[in-house]
Amino acid sequence: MTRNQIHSIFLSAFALVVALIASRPAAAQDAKEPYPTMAPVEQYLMDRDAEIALARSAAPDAISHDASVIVLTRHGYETAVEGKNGWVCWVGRGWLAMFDHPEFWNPKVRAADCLNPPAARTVLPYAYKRTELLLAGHSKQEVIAAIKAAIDKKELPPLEPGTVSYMMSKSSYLTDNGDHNGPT
Amino acid sequence: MRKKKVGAIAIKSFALLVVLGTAYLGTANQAMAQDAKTPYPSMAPIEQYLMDRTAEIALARSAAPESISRDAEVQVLGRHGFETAVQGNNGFVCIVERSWTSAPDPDFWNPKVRTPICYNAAGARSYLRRNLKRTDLILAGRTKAQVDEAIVAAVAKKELPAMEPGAMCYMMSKQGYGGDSAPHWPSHLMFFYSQTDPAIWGAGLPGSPILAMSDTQEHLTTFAIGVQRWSDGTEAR
Repeated sequence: MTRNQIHSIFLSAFALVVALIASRPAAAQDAKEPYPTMAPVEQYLMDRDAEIALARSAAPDAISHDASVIVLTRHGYETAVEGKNGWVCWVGRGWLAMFDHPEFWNPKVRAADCLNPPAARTVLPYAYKRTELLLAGHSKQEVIAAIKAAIDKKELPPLEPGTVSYMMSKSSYLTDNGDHNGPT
Repeated sequence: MRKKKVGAIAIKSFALLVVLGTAYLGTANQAMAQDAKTPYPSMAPIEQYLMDRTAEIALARSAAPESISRDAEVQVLGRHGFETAVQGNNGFVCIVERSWTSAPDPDFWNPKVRTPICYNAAGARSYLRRNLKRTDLILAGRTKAQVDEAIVAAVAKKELPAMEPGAMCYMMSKQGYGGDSAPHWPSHLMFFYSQTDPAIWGAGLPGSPILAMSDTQEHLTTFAIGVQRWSDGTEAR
């Protein structure tokens, strides 16, 4: 059970990002940990209005217009726009990929994403917790342990059936490789 | 009521393809405008629905990338139903469905229809079973209406299972024939759920690449998403 739930962490929307990155040819840049540590937090932050607009660009207007939008702050994500259709749009950062991903700390990553209501209820809590712990200075190992503990205590939910996310923005930056956004 | 029920049942997966074709290829408009009279009023001789076994296996496998279909079970159509031609070992089942499970009403008995599909294990255990039963009944001589009623009854009695979580299929073949009303369809994936609100995936909203079809009689919701490549990796236009 716990193993499955841990696995579900990696089945979040950002697993797609990882898959896209993994499928690309190796970049010309140094393959050895190009981003070994966290950059200054300012490098991960965005202008609030720009972040809202980028988040909404993940899905057609028919969905994102009435979605909630969350934005990153120095301590975690916070709601910037209250929605009314149950969807949540946001801009993911590199640390929401696999823990061993070479671009985990890449401050350029901006992954626009709109989650449907089941995903918002069950995927976002993992992203919130991971983000808050990392921004508080915890190590990857500490974050993994904390998430495992939270799952065991049922503080984090199992994935609901029917979770889906839209990542249709032409403005995302998912990786240093290729055209930086989506399959080619 | 009766008319509505039959209509709902008749709108099988291929109807989604027609819609996809309209949305992405613009080829289906003429299809829907074509002669509304039934060009295939009854079942053709069984031989016309059968294929060369080797060709059918190859066509079935063309529904998914080779990394999936290579180790998939393959079923081919016999005179009494589908039978296993190749044992698989990855849980996927590839099959070439015929008109009575895949085509819109005007092509229901069209013997030229060939629809390659690869189901994942969850899809094979749930959705595919309905189409196998439908095929068995058709080949046993049941009428379309009798088959529809039998399927609905079997679902109601739970003789046919609800959709498993994660049930889906690949329909990425550039070959096959969808019927006279929509001969070619875009490369796409389909996801099967037990009676789910299509709005939960944003299906059908302006700009959404997701289409959905709900069949209340079979308690089935099908989502379809077009993809950019055929199973052989070439770009789908």
